[in-house]
Amino acid sequence: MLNTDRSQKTEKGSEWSTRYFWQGLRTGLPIALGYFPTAMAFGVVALAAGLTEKQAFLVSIVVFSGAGQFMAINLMGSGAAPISIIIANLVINLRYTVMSASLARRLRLSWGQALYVGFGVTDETFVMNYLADPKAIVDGQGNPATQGTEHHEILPTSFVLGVNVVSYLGWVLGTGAGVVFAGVLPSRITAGMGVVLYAMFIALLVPSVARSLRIGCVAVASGIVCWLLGLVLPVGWAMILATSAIAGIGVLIWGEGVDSL
Amino acid sequence: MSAQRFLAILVGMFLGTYLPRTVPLLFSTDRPLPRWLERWLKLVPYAALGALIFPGILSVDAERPWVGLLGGFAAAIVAWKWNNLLLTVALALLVVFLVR
Repeated sequence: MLNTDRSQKTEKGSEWSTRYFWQGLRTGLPIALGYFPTAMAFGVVALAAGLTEKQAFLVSIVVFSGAGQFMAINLMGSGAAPISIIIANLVINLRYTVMSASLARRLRLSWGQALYVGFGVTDETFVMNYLADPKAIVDGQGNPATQGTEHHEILPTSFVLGVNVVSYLGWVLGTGAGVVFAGVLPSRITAGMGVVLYAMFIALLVPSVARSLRIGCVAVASGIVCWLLGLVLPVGWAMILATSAIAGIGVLIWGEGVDSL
Repeated sequence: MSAQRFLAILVGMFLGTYLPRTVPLLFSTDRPLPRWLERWLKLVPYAALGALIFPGILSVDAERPWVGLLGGFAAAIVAWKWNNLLLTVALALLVVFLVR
C-alpha cells in the first residue's frame, strides 16, 4: 500500500505538464528581467578583459553562474593561471551543493531529469523554486499540485524547469545584448545595475521574515558572519561557512521550533 | 587569449559549476532524513539569502557602500508593504540611479 502510494507521488511530481511549465516561466520572469541587465554588464566586462564576442557569449551559455563568471573574468583580465581560475570558480560555486541538497527534498527526479534540472540551479532559481507555494500551482481543473511528504510539499518538475529555462534565457540573451551593445552603452547605465540582484534577494526574503522573525534572525546573523569571514577568506568560502554554521546554530537553538517555520 | 587557454578555462568552469549543483539532485530521495538534517536544510535558504545580500550589497557602488545600502532599504520597504517582486526591483534600481 505504502509502495503504491509512493510510486503515484513520483509520477505526479515528475510527469511533464505544459501548464505547470508555463506557470514556472511566469514565476521565473522577474529573475530573467533581473538577469538581463546583469548579464549585459557581464558581456561588457568580458570584452574589456580581452575575450572575443563569441567567447563571452559561450561562457554564459556553458557556465550560467553570475558570481563565478564575474570572478573568472576578473582573474582572466589579470592573467591568472587557468587552474587557479578553475579552482576559484569551484570554491565560489560549492554553495550550490547545499542549495541543491535542500531543493532535492522538494523534488522527485529521475537521474535523467536531475542532469538537466541541475544545470538551472542558481541562487535565484533555487530560492524562487524553494519558496514557491505548491498550492498556488494548479492543473487544468484548478486542483493544486501539492503532494506532501511529512515535512515538505513536492514541486512539479515542469514548474521548476519553467523557472530555470526563463532565467537561463534572460542570462544568455542579456549577455548577447551586452556583447553587441558594449561599444555604445554609457558606464553610468551599466554600473549600479548590480542592485537588481540584491533587490530580488530582499524581495524573496522579506515575506518570510514577515511570517516569522526567527527567519529574519537567521538571515541577519548569516549576513554579518559572512561579512566577517569575508575579511579573511575568499567570498565563496565565507558564504558556505556562514550559511552552514548559522543554519546549524538555528537548529541547535530552536530544535522542534524549526519545523513550524 | 589563446583559444587553448580559453577552452581549458571554459571546460573547467563548466565542471566546477555543473557538478556542485547537479550531484545532490541525483540523490534526491523519498526516505526520511534525520530530523536535525531536515531542519538544517530548511534553514539553509534563509541563511543563504542573508549571506548573498550582505556584504555583497555594499559593492553595488564600491566607492560608496551606502548607495547599495540605500537601494536595499528601499527594496525592503517596498517588499514589506506590497510584496511585489518587479515593483521592488524597479524601485531599488530607481533609488540607486537617483542617488548616484
